[in-house]
Amino acid sequence: MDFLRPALLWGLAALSLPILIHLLGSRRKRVVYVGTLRFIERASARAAAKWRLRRLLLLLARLLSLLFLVALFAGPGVVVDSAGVLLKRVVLFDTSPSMGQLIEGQRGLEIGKALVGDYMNGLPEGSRIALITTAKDTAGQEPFVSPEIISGSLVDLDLSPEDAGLVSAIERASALLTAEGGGEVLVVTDMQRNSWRAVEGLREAPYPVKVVDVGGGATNRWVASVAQQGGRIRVTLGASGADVADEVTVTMSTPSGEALTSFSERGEVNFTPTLETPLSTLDIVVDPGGALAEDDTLQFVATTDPVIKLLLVNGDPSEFRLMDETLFLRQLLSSGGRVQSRFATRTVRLSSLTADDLQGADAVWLANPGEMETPIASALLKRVEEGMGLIISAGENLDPEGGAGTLTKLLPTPLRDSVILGGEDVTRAPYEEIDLQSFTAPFEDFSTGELALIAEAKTNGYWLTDSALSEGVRVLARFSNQAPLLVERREGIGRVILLTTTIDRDWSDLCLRPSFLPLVERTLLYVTGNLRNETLPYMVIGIDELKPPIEVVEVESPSGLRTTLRPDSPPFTPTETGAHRLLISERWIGGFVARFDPGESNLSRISGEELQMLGEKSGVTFSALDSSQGSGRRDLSPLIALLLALAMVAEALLSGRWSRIKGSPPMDVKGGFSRDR
Amino acid sequence: MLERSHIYDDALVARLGGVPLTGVPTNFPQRGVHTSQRRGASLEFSEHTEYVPGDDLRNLDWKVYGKSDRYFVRRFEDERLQRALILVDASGSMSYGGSPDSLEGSKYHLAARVAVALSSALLRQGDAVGLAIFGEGESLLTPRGGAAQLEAIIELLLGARPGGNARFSERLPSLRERIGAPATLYVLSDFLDEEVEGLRELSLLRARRLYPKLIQLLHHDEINLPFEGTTRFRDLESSAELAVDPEAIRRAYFEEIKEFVEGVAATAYSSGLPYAFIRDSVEAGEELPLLLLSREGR
Repeated sequence: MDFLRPALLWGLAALSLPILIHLLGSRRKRVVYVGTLRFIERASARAAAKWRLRRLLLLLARLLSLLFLVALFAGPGVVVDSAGVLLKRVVLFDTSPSMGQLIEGQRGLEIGKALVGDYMNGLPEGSRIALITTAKDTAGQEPFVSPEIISGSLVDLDLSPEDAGLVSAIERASALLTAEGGGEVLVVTDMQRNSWRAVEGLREAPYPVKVVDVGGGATNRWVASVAQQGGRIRVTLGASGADVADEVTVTMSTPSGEALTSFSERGEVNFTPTLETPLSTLDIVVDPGGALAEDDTLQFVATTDPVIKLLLVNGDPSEFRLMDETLFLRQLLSSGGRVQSRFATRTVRLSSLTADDLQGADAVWLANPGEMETPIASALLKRVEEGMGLIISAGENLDPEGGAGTLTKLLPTPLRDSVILGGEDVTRAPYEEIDLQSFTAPFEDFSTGELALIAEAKTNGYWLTDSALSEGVRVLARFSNQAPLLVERREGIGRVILLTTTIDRDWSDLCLRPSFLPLVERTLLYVTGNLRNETLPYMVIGIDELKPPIEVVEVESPSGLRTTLRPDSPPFTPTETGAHRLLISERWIGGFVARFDPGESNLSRISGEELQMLGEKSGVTFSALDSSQGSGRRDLSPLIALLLALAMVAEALLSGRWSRIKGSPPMDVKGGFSRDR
Repeated sequence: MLERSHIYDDALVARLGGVPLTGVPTNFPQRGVHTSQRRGASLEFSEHTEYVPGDDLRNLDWKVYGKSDRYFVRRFEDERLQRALILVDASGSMSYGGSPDSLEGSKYHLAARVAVALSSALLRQGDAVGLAIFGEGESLLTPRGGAAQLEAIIELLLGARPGGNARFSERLPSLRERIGAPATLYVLSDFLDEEVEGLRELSLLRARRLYPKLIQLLHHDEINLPFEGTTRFRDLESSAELAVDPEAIRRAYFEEIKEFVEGVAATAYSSGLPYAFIRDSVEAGEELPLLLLSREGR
């Protein structure tokens, strides 16, 4: 025998009442005067034995009535499975973030745990249960153990932002049951519409799926998306539920302590925060946030593009303007608009270059440099090691061995010799074009689209490098004859890039091509470490992936856990919510925010009818869990109620109460003789 | 105590008043409503008898002679007065059913109502009615006619108080001398004092030309024993006590009381005594007319 509410069994103490009444009742006597005791004495003598038996039976009936009444309130049942076979059961917990919604101060997950606990208490001895969740990470989900072990596992069960969805979880449950020869699936869920809609695509599950609904109100507000446009940050809010508040307050806090507040009635607000650093983590909070607290706050990594200070060192100046080596580069970088605002360019002649000129520069472009004094070269190298970018574009002045080889130390790789294919007109053959397939990160997008027009550039002069590339040196692009076009080498935390041809029209018409500016911009950003991977404003845990980086990057999660990503690493998928930092050599180069699926914030519920319809489409039988049947527990309430009724009838008959209830006519002593004389 | 309004039951009086009460005619040649065995001069035809000398020739039926050529005389019922005595049992047991300070609702109350109604009906048809009350003591009002007799009967009933034992067998034999015979004896009692065998003595009164008609009165509660819980029953006449659970003995008690009532009835019928059993005035209105019409008492 098993009881749903065993605490009510304390009511059995009431069994002492009829006993007390039985014992004390006989002491309390009232006096009734009668005409004669003759008949009472005779009747008493006749009924004495019967009377005592009847009193005992009456006491028994009263005791049983109370016993059955208390048992009925306590929810009687027996834990017997159908056909005497112990069913295998898979308890499938929806651990998606939406199960964190608060229902009367308690998380849906906790409510589900309590229900499953009760459910397991009602299972027959020897039952075996498998506990699985909708989490992507299926580690630790041991199949088919005793309910006691499952109870222990439930304690540690928590929400998982990495949610694989109900469909795959139900399919996994079905697979487990198939391996065990059948059973049933118990799904503990908040009936979130978004989750269950996917069930339409569920392959046929041959086992009954019983649903334990732990959902509550569908009202929720959340920060749906954040987008940065220049200095303006737009926050879009999501809402679900009919009675969700229209007016909400959105607060944005910056690292410097600035807190901006805005009211929203249309679900969208704009902020223009003061961003003091290139990368700032902002906290955005919506209030009131509704049932799900986890999505009321969203962090956002805002960026401020820094102005790159470029020192353009002209190694081949000319009084004749069109013959100047840096003419086209200067023109491009001062062409106005975005590029001009991004780069602060200063031009010096190589001959007048001093170490002081290098201070404060983010990048130095040596255009067709010739012989260089050793202190200058050393200063350049030191600055590169400290993180400055150095670009060397080749030309006829380049002399690797000149000046005691000072330039050689700066070059990414030793040069062998220069190749001059034709005359002054580079557009006349023979010339070399650029091999589009040779572009590697971060220039890989030059292979296609408009940027691919760079392939039309014709070059008849370039430098060849030594065939063997030393470690840390890589070729970023090549000519059609596979001669290197762009070569890179890391030096300290800085980079050096060699362009093996000229940036004027002496050896190539590259400077005349429309793709030249993107190439220059990309090179400058890359060499100064300002070229960040394109990442989403935020990434969805378990869904979005961070593409493999072009270099070694560390991803620091909010908990401080660092993951090293290499170009050959698999894509990185965040597993924690919050702001992640991207670091290169301990320098914060960027970041992103990981959050759980915004669809989880929409707490709209699916009705039982809709669920059944979806089930019919996919051939799955969904039904609500019946606390007595679903648990393998047979409810004895009807039987106990019947026994209670019988005991009460017996009590009524034995006590004579039935005669009074029935209103039976007085007993007729005349026996028909009175009128029939 | 009972009051006049308590024992004068208009409905019952009216009910019995409409019944021609039969009884035993007296020897006195007073014209009454009761047919005598004597052939008299009333207008009520009785039978034809063959003429014998000495018959009043005024009664010779000439029409019969014309048809049969034989002489027959017509005989008529002789209607004379009845003498009746209403005997009310006022033993202690008759107070059952009443409240401690009032007899209202008791068997004595019912007996008094029946006695008044009977007296009223009898007096109305010109009979002589008397009243005897047997209890702790004995009261007797000899039979007389007239409206004043009803008042006397009522006063006597109101003044009586149930108690003691009726002792019918001891007191009845001396009645004849006191009220004269013949007379009809209406005995209103619960007969609880008497064992059934003792009732047979009542039939012996007929030898003294006292013709009893028995009216047994019992209270509903005496039959149904509708009490709950262990109860101490105390005898109204002897103060003996017995504690029992009425629910437990109800069935057996009912069998006992039924056996008793049936015994009384059977004894009455076997002895040729008209008998009625009543529990309330409604039953009295239904049962008594049948009893009063019966002539078995003779």
